[in-house]
Amino acid sequence: MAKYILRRFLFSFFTLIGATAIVFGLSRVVGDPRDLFAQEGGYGVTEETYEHLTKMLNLDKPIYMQYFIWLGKVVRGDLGRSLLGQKDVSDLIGEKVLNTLELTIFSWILSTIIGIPLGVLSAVKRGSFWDYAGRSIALIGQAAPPFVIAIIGILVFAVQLGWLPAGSGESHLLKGFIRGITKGDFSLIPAFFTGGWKHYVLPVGTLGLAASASYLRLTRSSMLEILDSEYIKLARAKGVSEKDVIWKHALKNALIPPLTLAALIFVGFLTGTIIVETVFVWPGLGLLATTAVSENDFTVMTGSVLLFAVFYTVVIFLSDLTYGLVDPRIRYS
Amino acid sequence: MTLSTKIGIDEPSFLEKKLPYYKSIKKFLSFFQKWPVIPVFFISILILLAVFADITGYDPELPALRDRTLPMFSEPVDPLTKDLTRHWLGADQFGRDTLTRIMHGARITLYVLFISAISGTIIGTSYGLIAGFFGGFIDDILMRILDLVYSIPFLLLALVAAIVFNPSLTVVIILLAFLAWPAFVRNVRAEILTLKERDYILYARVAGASKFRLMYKHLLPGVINTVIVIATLRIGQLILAEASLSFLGAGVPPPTPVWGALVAEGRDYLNSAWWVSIFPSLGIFLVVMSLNFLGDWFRDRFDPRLRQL
Repeated sequence: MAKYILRRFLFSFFTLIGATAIVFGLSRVVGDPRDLFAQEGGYGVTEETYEHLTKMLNLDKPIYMQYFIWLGKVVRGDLGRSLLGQKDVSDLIGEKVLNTLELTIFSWILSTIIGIPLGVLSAVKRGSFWDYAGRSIALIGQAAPPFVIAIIGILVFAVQLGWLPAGSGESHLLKGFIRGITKGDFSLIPAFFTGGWKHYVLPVGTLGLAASASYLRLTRSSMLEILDSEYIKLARAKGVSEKDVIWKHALKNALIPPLTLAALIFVGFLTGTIIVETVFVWPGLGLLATTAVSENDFTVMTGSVLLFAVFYTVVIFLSDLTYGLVDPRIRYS
Repeated sequence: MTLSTKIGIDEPSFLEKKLPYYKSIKKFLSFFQKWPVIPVFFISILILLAVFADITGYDPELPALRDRTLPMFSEPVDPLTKDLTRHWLGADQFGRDTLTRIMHGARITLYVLFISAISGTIIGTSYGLIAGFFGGFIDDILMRILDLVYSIPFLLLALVAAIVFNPSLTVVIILLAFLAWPAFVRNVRAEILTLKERDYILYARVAGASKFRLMYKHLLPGVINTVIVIATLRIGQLILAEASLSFLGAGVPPPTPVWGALVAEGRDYLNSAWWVSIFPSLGIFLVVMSLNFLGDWFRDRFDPRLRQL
């Protein structure tokens, strides 16, 4: 087991290095970050400033040296300063990360709550209303890109009915909790219940619906497979009640594939948030990354990509570990 | 629970209990189950739209400001477009005909998909072929690279690349090909690993076939089924990715009508002109759904082993 963990760990490490190197390299291929400070055609910046900037950004060194310098700083917790706002990138990310995390967690819970029970239900009551309902949700979630669901949601609930706000919100619970502990200001948490929750409905619904589709499909097919297996037939033949067959015998085994999917879904959200945050102007990491990209602010860009990649590799690493724990065959393959 | 479920026979379905003339309806439906009628119907519509994109007479990129945000079925009023047909699906914020833009968008979508899917398929298949055929050290290296590619969040990479190289049709096609190829590698490699142990490969080797000949004449035909199935299953995702890219402004640049960009442009006018983004949204949804169905059908028919995909 130790060898397996070590191997997975080394692999995650190299993945991180590779992913950041690619993004770092790409961000330096075209476009001079110094031009951000200058007007059109280099007007407004003196030679000295230009040279100072070159020194500050290490642009006089070859690109691999720039990467290693950046990497060395990152290890010490310094992500650099944003080129446009001159703020510490770690501060910028710190402000946004809770917003994204809260959106992700809520959507994760929602998709699990919808996806798994409905998947079980549609497998158990095959051909019933629930089966058709579940399968239609799976169909829609698979074929409609998140932004289409978002646009239709906005059109119906924000524009036509006027029930929900169409955009801009922020994390209440996580942020309120942390602010409460560090500063003694708990006002954000009640604000969530008096009206803040409305901001969540559309973004969380959009992300959750798309993800619940894959849960649903997987749960349904694995449940059907289990219900068709010999030991379930034996249990039924012994006269075990239908309730016990489903809840005690079938469900436990049928849930293994969807639970392993859970980690992947969480990872999928991290990129899914890029679109949803852009549509709903949700001030999170995804919005930070897209604006950084369009403004060519490469310190923010590499910083947020690094964070996404870290999230990704950590989750994958953990899910690999649990995999190895649950199914010993994987360790030796 | 009735006895029929207990012993594993399907209960009569929800529909069966409710509908009169169930048998004749079922006969009719079974035809639909056997052949992918509906997906083929929608995809033919897509192709027809693309082929006859010029039939409405409107210019997809030329603004006609007096027509702006005209609702569906309205007559054009701008002097530029006065003699043309109605705006069947309305006009957008610059007075461009929504239907025409959707039709031209279908053309671009098909073009992008065709090139990126084919190049992705070729790259992925050759990659898997080489990894499986040579094995050992080369295989190890290639598979580690594949893992690395899988671990990069595509959308972020695409955004960076699109901004760095300036958004254009070529960049989008390259990005989509990049998204498409990894899906083929694992399955192709696994099949090659078993195929290359077969006797006929050994005989070909003894007969003096070169490595290249072995791979492309003797091994490739054995995996082509799998490749086709994976390709059809992946195309829907490529459309989604392309639409997401152009929605985020990293795809084909405006004023070219691409479906994702059409949705994005109409987003600010949902209050006054919902048709600008709803119809392209519907288009994306229907096409992706049809492609998914078609992929499933291909898989069940040609390669049921891939069910788990």
